[in-house]
Amino acid sequence: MPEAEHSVDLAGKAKRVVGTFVLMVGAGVVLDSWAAWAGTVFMLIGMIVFVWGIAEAWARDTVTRPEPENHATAAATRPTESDL
Amino acid sequence: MDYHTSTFNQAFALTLLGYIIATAVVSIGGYLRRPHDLSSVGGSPVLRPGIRGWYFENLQQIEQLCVRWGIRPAYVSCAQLIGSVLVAACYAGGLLFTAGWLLLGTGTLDIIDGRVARRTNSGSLRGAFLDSIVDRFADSMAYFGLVIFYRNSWVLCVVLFAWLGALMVSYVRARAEGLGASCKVGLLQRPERYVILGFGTIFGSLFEHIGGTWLPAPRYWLVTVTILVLAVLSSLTVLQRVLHVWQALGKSSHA
Repeated sequence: MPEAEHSVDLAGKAKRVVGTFVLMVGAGVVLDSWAAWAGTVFMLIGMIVFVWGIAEAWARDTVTRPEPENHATAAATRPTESDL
Repeated sequence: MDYHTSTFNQAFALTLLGYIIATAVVSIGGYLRRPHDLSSVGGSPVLRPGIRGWYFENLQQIEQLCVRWGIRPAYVSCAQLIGSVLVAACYAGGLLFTAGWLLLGTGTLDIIDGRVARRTNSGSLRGAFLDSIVDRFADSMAYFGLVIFYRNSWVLCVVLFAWLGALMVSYVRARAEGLGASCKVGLLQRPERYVILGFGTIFGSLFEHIGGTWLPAPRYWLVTVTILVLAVLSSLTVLQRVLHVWQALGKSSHA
């Protein structure tokens, strides 16, 4: 498996892990206690961090994925002799 | 809006269960798509090398951030200490789902501090001493919270037995190493205890909310079963370690 794909899967991993953890802690407060507002705040923070991590992974994926359209973009932006 | 109507709680608990299963499938599926070198991961009969490898991969970036931001292993141990007090408070207050996640979080901090110390080459005897003290404290705080939660129930006896087992597992190893014998064997070491108790209380709480109103089983039956399993397996681990050390010391005294 190419190294690039490995780095894609790990991009934003810390944010996704921490986001899920905070989301779950908040969900437990909503589920088991009367302080539902506090749990909701935790859940919102967790969701934001998780989505941030997902967005980071997707952004990295777009940059590094060796798809034909990226080759085409690279070819279009590659310096030519006339640029040098 | 009343958030604690049974319908709301059932729907919410079902959603959480679905989310946890979906996240696990996506994350483990992504891990299995890639080849891995698991030779340095280690493993035990309960937590196989594949599970440990997946778990360590999830922690990799957090460790890198700790190293980059200069967070010392002692600070991570302090966070574990504070987290363990929160675990006890949540168990005592009946927030079992939150307590389960916090327990897994404090267990994770226990792993991160050692890995950060190795990465930054900042391991010391004082750090090892502090780490082992914090580990015993964190281990005990979870059971302390459960003792308060089950104070009016027969399950209290089982919790106390599981607590005794957890302390004895650690004590046998410490005593053996003090006498010069290695004692890293055992079915249920600390990470296994954290995982079983953590997931037991998480799913126990969810099942309680999903089916608690119509199931004939006693309240938090899965949590009770989890503690029973922990009590039995911890005692077996103590026995396993005592026999192992007994044989090892016998060999060294004959040599």
